[in-house]
Amino acid sequence: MNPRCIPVLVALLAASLSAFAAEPDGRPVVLVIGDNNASPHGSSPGWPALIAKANPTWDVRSVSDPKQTITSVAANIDTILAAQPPLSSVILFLGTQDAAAENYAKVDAKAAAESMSKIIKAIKANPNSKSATITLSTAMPVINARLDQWSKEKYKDSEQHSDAIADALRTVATAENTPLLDTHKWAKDDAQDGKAGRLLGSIGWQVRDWGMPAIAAHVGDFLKKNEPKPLDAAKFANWQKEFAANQQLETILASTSEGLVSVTGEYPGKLVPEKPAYYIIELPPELIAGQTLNVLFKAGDKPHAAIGNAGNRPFAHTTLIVTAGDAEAKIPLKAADWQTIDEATPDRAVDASRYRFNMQKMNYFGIASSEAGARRWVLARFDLSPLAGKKNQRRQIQHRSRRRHGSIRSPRQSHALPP
Amino acid sequence: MEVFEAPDKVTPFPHDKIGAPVASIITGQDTQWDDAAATWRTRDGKLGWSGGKIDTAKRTAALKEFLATNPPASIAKKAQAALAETK
Repeated sequence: MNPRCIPVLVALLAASLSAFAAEPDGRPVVLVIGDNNASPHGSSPGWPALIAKANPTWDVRSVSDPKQTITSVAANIDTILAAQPPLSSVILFLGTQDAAAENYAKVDAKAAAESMSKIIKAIKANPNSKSATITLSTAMPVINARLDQWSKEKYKDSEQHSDAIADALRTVATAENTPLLDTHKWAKDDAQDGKAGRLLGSIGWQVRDWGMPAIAAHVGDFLKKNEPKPLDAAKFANWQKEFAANQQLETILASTSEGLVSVTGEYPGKLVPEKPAYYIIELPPELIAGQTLNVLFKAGDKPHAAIGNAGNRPFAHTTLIVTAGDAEAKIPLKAADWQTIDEATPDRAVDASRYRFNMQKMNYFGIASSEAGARRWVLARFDLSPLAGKKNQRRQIQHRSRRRHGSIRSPRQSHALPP
Repeated sequence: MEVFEAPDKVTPFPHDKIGAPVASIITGQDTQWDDAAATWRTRDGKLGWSGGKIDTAKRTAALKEFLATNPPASIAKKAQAALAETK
């Protein structure tokens, strides 16, 4: 790794932590305590972030970590709750790591159940969460039929361990009188493609980025049936009034215009002579004074342009490069931060995080098109928080579009999950 | 059901049609697009985009009518700003 990138990564982490501690605005606060299957994965946000987007009337927050287990949360639950505002709802989405971690042989369903009981009791006792509705979800199942031979040998008996943990959590839900969201059963009973279990990840129990929308719908539907209640009704009513007025204003602005993306300036990409696969787009410094840089990409000199991140394949890499003297910060365009909009299918959302370029690697890019009647534009968002406090920077977007074997391949619609 | 297609069956994209991208900076409330739900017509599946050619007379009238309803202060401020830009 380029050592100059290290401060950037640190700054990103600090920014996400401070954002998490945002003051509540009157909406019911929903806290998700989750493991790997609730965390941002690959190129997608975790399902808590998807639920937050789909349900703006809830303030959804997530304390999820890929290595988090029932045991580790039980040890830290007081610290986690102390950092929260008053909560309306808590969702416990743990247990995958307990069943499928490499030290599977140490899994003890009884101990997991005791730890979960401890977590629930701590939530009920904490001043920030004592009036919250607690939802206990069973974990994503390990399904042997979904494992390749290597995984079957490595995670021997994991399906039985995961079943045992799910049974133990169901017992805890009954004993603690807590609503149960039986994700384990939901995923295991499904067999849409002829194999046991719902396919949400390529090796069975680990949800991949393209599985996150399905989990978001599963949990979101449950939450809608058990609508989180605001703790301060008057404050929430004010928030709703402001939200409705804002929607009304934005409807006015949209209905009195042509209805295209509102943009300023036009910055064409220039081919870099010494690097034939690179295009550079230079931007004036004042454009990136805020927290994010929102960019609309169109095709320029030819009918198409490729935007995004093709992973480790040399197709397309779009990076915002910010230079200050000799220092340089690179902000790659992540797949969850761009999206195409298509004139030919005007009502269809084309979610970048639903693209799957091939079966082994998660490679993503979008194709902008200037073809008449089938214009396709790429919306992109660069997070500028790593640049906070830096001055006298020069900005440019570097875009690499290299050809391989004389062709570049487009993302395939057949790999998209149904909307 | 999700259907996977072997990578070697992808339709090749003709490289001679791939060229330089052009960037424009997204402005105003359109910066709040939803990266999962935006479409050609809407920025979040519900609200439309606000750019392109603007019908100044219609927008001015609608904003004035909106301000007359006494919206919350923060939203009124946004409406006033939009009104100032429209003139």
